[in-house]
Amino acid sequence: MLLLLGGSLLVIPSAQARAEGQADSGNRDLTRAQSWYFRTRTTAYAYTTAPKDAVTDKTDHFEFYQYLDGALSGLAQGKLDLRLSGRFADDFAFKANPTTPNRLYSLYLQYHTSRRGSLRLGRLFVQEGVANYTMDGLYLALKPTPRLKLRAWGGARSPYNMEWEASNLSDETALGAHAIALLTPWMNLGVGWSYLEHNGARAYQKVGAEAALRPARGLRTILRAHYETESEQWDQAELLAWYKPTPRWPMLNVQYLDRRQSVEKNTYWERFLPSLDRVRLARASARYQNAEQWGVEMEYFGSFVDEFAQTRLGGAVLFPYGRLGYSVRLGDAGEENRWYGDLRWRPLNWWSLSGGAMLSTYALLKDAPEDLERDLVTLYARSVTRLRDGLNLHLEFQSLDNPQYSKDLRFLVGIDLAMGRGASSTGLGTGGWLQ
Amino acid sequence: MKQLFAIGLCVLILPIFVALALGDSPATPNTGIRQVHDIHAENGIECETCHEKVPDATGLTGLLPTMDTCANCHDVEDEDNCKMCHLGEEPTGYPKEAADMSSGMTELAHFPHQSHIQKQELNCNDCHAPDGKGGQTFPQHPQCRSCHATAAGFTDCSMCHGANEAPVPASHGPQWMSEHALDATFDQSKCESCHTQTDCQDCHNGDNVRPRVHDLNFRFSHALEARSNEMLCQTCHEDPVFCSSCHAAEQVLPENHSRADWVTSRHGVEASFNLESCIACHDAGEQDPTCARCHGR
Repeated sequence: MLLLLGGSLLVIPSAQARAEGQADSGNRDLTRAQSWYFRTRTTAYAYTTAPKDAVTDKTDHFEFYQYLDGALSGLAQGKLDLRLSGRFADDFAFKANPTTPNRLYSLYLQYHTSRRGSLRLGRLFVQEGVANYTMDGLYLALKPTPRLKLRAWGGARSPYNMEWEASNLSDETALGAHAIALLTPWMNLGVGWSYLEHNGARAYQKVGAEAALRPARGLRTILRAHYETESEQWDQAELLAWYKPTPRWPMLNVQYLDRRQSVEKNTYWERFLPSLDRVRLARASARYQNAEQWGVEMEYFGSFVDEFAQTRLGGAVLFPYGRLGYSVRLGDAGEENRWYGDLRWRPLNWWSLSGGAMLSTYALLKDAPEDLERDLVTLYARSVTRLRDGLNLHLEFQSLDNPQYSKDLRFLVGIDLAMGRGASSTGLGTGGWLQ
Repeated sequence: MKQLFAIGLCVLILPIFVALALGDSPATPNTGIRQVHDIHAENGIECETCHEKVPDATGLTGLLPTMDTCANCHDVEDEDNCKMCHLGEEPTGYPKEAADMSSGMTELAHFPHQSHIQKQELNCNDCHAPDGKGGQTFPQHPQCRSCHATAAGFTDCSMCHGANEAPVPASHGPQWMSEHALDATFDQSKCESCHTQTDCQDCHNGDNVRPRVHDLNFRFSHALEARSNEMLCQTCHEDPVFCSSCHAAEQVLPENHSRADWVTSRHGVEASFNLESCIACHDAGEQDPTCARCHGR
């Protein structure tokens, strides 16, 4: 991979000069606009759960989430951006609630070295080729020619629950590179490499290649394969295709995935790897909706691991304000019959209503006896009111009926506040309130 | 051996990247019409001579020249001249109207050339740069964003994509939730043309409040999806901490553990199908898991 990157970098200067020459011949240099925005989402969520067994006590919850999301863009003559996203959370009524940790999703400085390169430093997502995680570190993106994108990164994988503390670099080392070549208008290729450590030991080292093809009008496909160099096995192979030749044609979609079970190296579980079966998944869907919003959608999902199989089939009717559907699951993991529907309506430009219902009968065993079949009923209704630009009020009511609780009614209140300035340097759409 | 194969694959691909770096810029899709913007420009013909409605246009219809427009200067009746413009090939690119240029993936509700040209005094080439082959390029989102630094929650997108409809590409269909990871990992920058990383958190925030990744009653039926690998729980949830927060705290055993043959034989069969589920609860980190009692350390 180093060889690959090195070889590509050698040809950057001449190609870059020519590409910039082409761009400058026609394009006025539009400096990146300066802008800032800050958005908060405040959500309070109250509910009481009363167990059906009448032995345990009912529990009150009062969950509170405060999201922060902000950006400063186009600083230092358009070269510097700062982005932040995180949350504070608590359950004031039930302190033992495990679902309310504080989280830092991203916090990074981005420096645009030129029109064709940028550097990010901090906590950020890396969704590149073989890698798919959040990292505290350095990320470099280059576009030396209009048809070649190069990325490289290094740092420590962030903690799973996105704590505000960073991981130890020597324990959770994450390194990788990805190159994407826009070969022709109908074919792009990518190659990637990713190395990851967990608790100071190598978790995996993978190389991978992807191809995105448009072999016919309206047909788009992505093929991907990962190879694990440590165990010398193909880790994952995947095919994804969409077909929609014209705007009025249904969107057809298929996916096939063949992967090894995810077991990290240097763990107790590694000893079972040779006896594990590969996971093979197939998905297909079709959706058609006409200009009046009437339509249908159908889904298929199949899971095959040796002789273990599970299938889900579903279909829904789409209508102008919602949809009504039915799905069935069958197989070794269990069974389920499900009716579902949802509605959306915007009676006024500043007020939208939505709601939904789901009725399910399920069993977590194959051919389960009737006494192991359970019912789930889920109902919700939501109102979103735009009090003014950048200020939304959310109200939601949920009613859940399930095997454990005789009563589970939930009330949610949320306020979204967004403010910003210079969202457009040309004076159009200058954003939310507090200009 | 297999490692050598992987390295060989990379080495084989290297020349492609070199060829790319030395090659031309991406071709403009074939419209079936010869691209002659450069010839017209060299002869001092202004863009609006052919695209006469563009300077006052607030929408995207009627912006492309018709044969009548060509007839103002060229003898379009002379069949010998057909190939001057018509390539005789089936168009694969932009249809007759610029409004259809997205080929059904995302449609623009409107685009105000008028304000860009008259108020902001932009030139055509500022957004439609020459492609080096006689044609002009269509602007991509990053180009829009050089002026419209749109932040999540603000209204810039609706200027082109319509005020009340999210500009959702058709690829974001019923199973997009299962598919988007692959599309994103192929080229993250493509997502970033519409989304900021903040948008990811709207779903991947872990609280499942709004919008929701899982159904509200998912807690009770999640085993169906976990055991059939419909979703990979470990992508978002740390095992065994997350699982044991309910299973251990509330002493809830997975239903299959109550089978009569679970300990003697069945657990081994199911583990080979889905060891990830076992690890989700039984991984004890640095210490030996429950399995070590029988399977050894």
